Amino acid sequence: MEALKFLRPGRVAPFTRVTWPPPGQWLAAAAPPELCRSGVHALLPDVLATWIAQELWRVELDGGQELAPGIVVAARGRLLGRVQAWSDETAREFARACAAHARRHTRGLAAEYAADAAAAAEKGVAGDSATRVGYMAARAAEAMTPGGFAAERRWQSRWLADRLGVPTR
Amino acid sequence: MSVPELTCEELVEVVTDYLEGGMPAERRLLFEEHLAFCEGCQTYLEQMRETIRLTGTLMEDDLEPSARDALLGVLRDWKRR
Repeated sequence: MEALKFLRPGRVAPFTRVTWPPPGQWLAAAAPPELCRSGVHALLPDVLATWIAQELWRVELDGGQELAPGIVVAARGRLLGRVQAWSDETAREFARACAAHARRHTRGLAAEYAADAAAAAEKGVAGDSATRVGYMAARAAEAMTPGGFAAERRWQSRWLADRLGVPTR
Repeated sequence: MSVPELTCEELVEVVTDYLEGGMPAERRLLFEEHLAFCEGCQTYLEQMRETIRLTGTLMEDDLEPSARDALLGVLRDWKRR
């Protein structure tokens, strides 16, 4: 199956620090796939906004299973190609879109969260800062409506998938 | 309905469990979701990893005798408390 993977510069996995081999070469896990413990992990477009990092890659998984919402795990996987549309500029666009979306329907404390997100959006880069703006905007949404956090994250992930041209389910 | 998440303080409390692999999958997922947006906790985790790496490679002969004696003194005092 095909999925997506955010990596740090140099094809480094954000949590395990494993360096993925060049595109086309398989990365095999040492143990059977288990959520957040072993196996090659990748994303479906539904949850892109939560896991942003500097590089976004299309990956092929050998028999991947969705073990948590939007998270697929397999015994092995390989990079197919970089999603070139994901860059610092796209990250700033994303951050601005998140902030603007949150500001449209917030007031009181939530509006303050949204304003913080808007202020941070201009410094957004494809690494951590765009992620933080998305998080702040989602917190603003939650401050307005219970369940707003998850709904805002879904909206953000759809925005990213549309902007980056990756197919959604 | 509140958002299921870890705070920075909670992350610091459970970082050893995370590094030792002793955390249930759902908790690890929350831990990593927090790391994804929190630069401070990313730095903290890196520092913990580096500390473990360095102390794991430290051998008795690597220490100056005075440093070894000072360290043993601290440990003896700590044990008496």
